[in-house]
This record gives sequence, structure tokens and C-alpha cells, in this order.
Amino acid sequence: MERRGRVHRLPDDVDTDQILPGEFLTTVPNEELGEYALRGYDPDFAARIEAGDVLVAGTNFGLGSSRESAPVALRNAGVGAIVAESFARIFYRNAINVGLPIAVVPGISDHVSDGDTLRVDVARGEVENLTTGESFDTDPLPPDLLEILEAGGLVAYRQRATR
Amino acid sequence: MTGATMAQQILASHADRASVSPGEHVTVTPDWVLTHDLSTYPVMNRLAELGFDRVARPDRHVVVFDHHVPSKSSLITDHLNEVEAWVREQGIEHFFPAGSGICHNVLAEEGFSTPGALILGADSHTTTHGAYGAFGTGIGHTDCADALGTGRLWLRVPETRRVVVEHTLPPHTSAKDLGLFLMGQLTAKGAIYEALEYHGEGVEALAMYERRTLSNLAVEVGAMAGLVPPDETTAAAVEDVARRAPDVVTPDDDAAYVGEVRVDARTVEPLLARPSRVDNVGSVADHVGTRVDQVFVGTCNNSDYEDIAAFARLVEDETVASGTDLIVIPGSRRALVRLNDAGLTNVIVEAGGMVGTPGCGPCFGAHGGILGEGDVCLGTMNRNFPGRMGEGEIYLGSPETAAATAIYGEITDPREVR
Repeated sequence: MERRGRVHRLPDDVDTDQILPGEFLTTVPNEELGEYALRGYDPDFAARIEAGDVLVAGTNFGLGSSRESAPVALRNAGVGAIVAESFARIFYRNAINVGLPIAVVPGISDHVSDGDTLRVDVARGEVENLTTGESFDTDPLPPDLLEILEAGGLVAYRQRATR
Repeated sequence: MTGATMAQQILASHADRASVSPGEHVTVTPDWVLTHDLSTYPVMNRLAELGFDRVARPDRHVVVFDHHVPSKSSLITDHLNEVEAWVREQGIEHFFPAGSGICHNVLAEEGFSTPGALILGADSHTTTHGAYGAFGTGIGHTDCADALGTGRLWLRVPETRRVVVEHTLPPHTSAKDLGLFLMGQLTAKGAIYEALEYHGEGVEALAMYERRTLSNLAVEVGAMAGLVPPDETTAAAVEDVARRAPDVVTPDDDAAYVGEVRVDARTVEPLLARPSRVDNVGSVADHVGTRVDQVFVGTCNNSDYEDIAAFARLVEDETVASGTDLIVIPGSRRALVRLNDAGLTNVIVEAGGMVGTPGCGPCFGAHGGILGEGDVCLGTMNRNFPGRMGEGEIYLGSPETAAATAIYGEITDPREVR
């Protein structure tokens, strides 16, 4: 479960309204949601994301609404993983359910710059800044959540289980 | 072995366990699963993708249309029609169509929110039901579909933080001001993944609609649930309406808490959350004179009959300031009928306000009353995130602060009116 990608830095408290504003809920098909990722934070953000890029955020990433379209938008925009100092509870669950790897690393904001390359392994609990050589402690995901993530999300996990 | 908090006891009983510990993942069987119009459409699609043809327990699923009411576009109406057909096909009897009210208000009024219940909702403000001593928590679409398909869901047992409110609130302050005070103290990340348990004279003195305001705001400090121990006020509120026998859960004397916050309610004054963070809290008195283009009273935070009656009492025989739009949206059909019976909708309309269909209104940024660039709104809702309600800036305050502000068209301290 290893991802390597170019870093985009985000501040503390990026909420679900910034990740996907309410006006795009239900009116935009899932497959097009990537175009609107982080629209409320920066209208040009989604255009700058390349497949596999890693978001590095501050504390409480994804606070607010239960809308699962928020992590879906990030995933569909090409985000390969999110590392944050902390995540809001519902966003944390939703990210795993839609197959978007996430890691919690308190204090990481001070050690990563835009454009650095980050390696994230949520199974081993490893986060490494390949640009600076610094590595960071993070807890591996609990086995039940890792299974869902490794399957590609809860839908894929259930489909695999019933095959 | 230490005792259990309310959260631990409710989760244990729904996981068929004698006890559970914070940090554990447990599989629970909820009493009720809630979806609204905005969430039911993706949830029913996800249910099919997960491989389920049927909702496992259709008698435990509650569907309320509240976000897009009345519908604003053909596409949304198409979705709502599909949802209605699906609700009938699945045999879901607890269906509340457009105009019934906001899901959390409806669940409370219709007796779904009862002491000891476990309520999972595809809406973050499902914490509201903690006011009734229920464990209510928000979940996403796939989680909700899985809970509907299997009848169960895994939850992480939260640590619990005690909130003790000593003494009672002064005049012209309300549960909203207390909630804002707590948001300022705890901050938006102060209770991530925790349950809050509200104690003390200042909480016991609150009516049910005020406790709902407090529990509703629990999610704004990151909490999974916000629980008020049931008392006589709770018992009276559910006595005639409870859909399931109340299972009164109170914390053990030796329950372990992750921390405690103490508030002296006498020090609470009319407060605001300033743009654009819920924990950017300041006193109304410090912001008097700030120009406001729109005042909005409603949402699952302050939309009960009593909330709007408190607002209406202040605007009676007054006129809303020129250049300021006033939107008032009762939280439920019942609230609207009571306001009508008391003549209070007329008071609001005669003052120059608009009264909308029971529902969420502009709060989530897609339905009526959306702000333009540079607009300033003072609302009684629970969120003021950037872009939440369009392009403008949002201040959060109490219904009384909203009334004083609507009259003058600028932020006004309710203690200065009458």
C-alpha cells in the first residue's frame, strides 16, 4: 500500500465545503467530481493535481459535512494519498471507504514543502520525505481498515468478498 | 475496572457486549438509520453497488426530505422521484416528504430520538439526538449504505470529555450563546473523535429545543456525539411520542473521562462566530455596527417554535432595516403550525421578513438565499466556513441577536433592544 507523489501543502481546518462546495452535491455525477476538488479553497487547485500527487494538510482536515463526495472528488482528481496532522472523524472513515489512503502525522506541516516528493505506506506506517530524507512516525492503519483500503474501498471490498 | 460513560454504555448495549473500551472497534446494530433527500440518492446507489437488493430492516430506516425543498431544478426533482419510488419499493414506512421539516427536528418530534437509542445518520449533525440521551452520529454514504444493507456498522468507541456548566444563563442569552462559548473554548478540533457529555445546573435548566442546539454543535468541535443525561425534562418530552421504550442511560460514578471543561454560565453573553471559522468566537458587543445584508433564522440549530418565537417577540411592531433581507425558516411543519397559531408568522412577515418552507434553506449553500460576493449574513446556523453559503461572509449568532440585527441592518446587541 505504498504511494509516492509530489506534495501540495494545505493549511489547518480545510473543511468539506472548501473541498466540495454544496452547489455541486448530487448535481454533478461522481466521475466528474474531480474537476471540482478543493474548488472552495482555490478554484484552480484541481487543475494543478497530477495523478498520484500527495496532499499534506494541517490539523482537522475534512471537518464539517458527512458528504462522501468530498473525498471522492479528491480521489477522482488524482490525489494518491493525504497526510495530515489530524483528520475530522467522518472524513477519515469516508476516505477509507472510497479507497483514498490517509496517514496521520502530527507536526508534518513544518517538514514538507510544496513540490517535495513524499512516500506514504499506510500498511507499514511509514511516511518519508524523499526530497529531504526525513522520515516520520505514523501508526499503521488498523487491520480491518487496511483490508478495506487495500481492496480499493468498501464497495470493492464487499464485491470481492461475495465473489 | 472503571465504570462506563454514556457513550460506552450505549455502544456496548448495541454491540451485545457487557462493556466496551475507548479505542475499540465494535460492530453495532443501530435503532435507526437516517437519510435525507441529499443523502438518500447516493446511499441507494451505493447500496446496489455493495451488492444489496434490499434494506435489511426497512422499519428502522427513516427518510426525510429537507435539503432541496421545494426542489430547485428538474435534475433534483428527477432524483427525488427516484428516491420516492425506491422508498415505496423497499417498504420504508418512515418517510417524511418535502415540507415535513429538517430531519433532526422531525426525528425528535416524531419520537425516534429517545434515551439510550443509537442513531446513525448520513448527516453530520446527527449529534443533535444526544440531547435526548441518545447516541447520534454522522456517517458517509457508503457507510450508511452498508449499515442499511447489513443492519450493522463498525464504530470506534470514543473517549468521553465532560462538559460541566455551572449556574444558569443570564437573560437575552440562549443555548446558542453557550454553544458558541464552548466552541471558542474547545476550538474546532478540540474534541475530534470524542463524545461530549454535558453536565451541571446550566444544562439541566435547558429545555429540549435548547439541548438540541447544544448537541447539534458537538460535531463543530469534532465530536462523534454530544450527550445530555436524561432527566425529567427528557422524560416529559418523549412520554407521548417515543417509538421505542426509553432505555435511560447515565454515566457510572467512576466513569473515566479524557478531560473536563468547566463553564460558568453567568459569564456567557451574546456571542458570535466571526467569518469564517466556527471557533472564531467574539462578543456581539464588540461587533456592533457591522453592516449585514441578510439575516437568516432557521436550520437544525435554531429553528424550533421557541427559537423563532424569541426572534418574533423582538421584531414585533418593528421593521426590518432597508437593504437587509430577512429569511425565517421553521424547522418543521409542527413548528410552522404553532407559529401560525400564535400569530407569529404574521409578525415576521409584517416586519418585512420572508417565511420559508420547513427545511434546511440556504444553510448548505445550494438552495435559496445564497450570498453574493461581499455580502454579509448573520445566521442562526451552525457553520460559517468559507463559501458555505455562496460568496459572502457569515456570522453565527442566536435568534435574539438575529432579531436585533435585522431591525437595525447591522450587528446589534439584543440586550440593547427593548
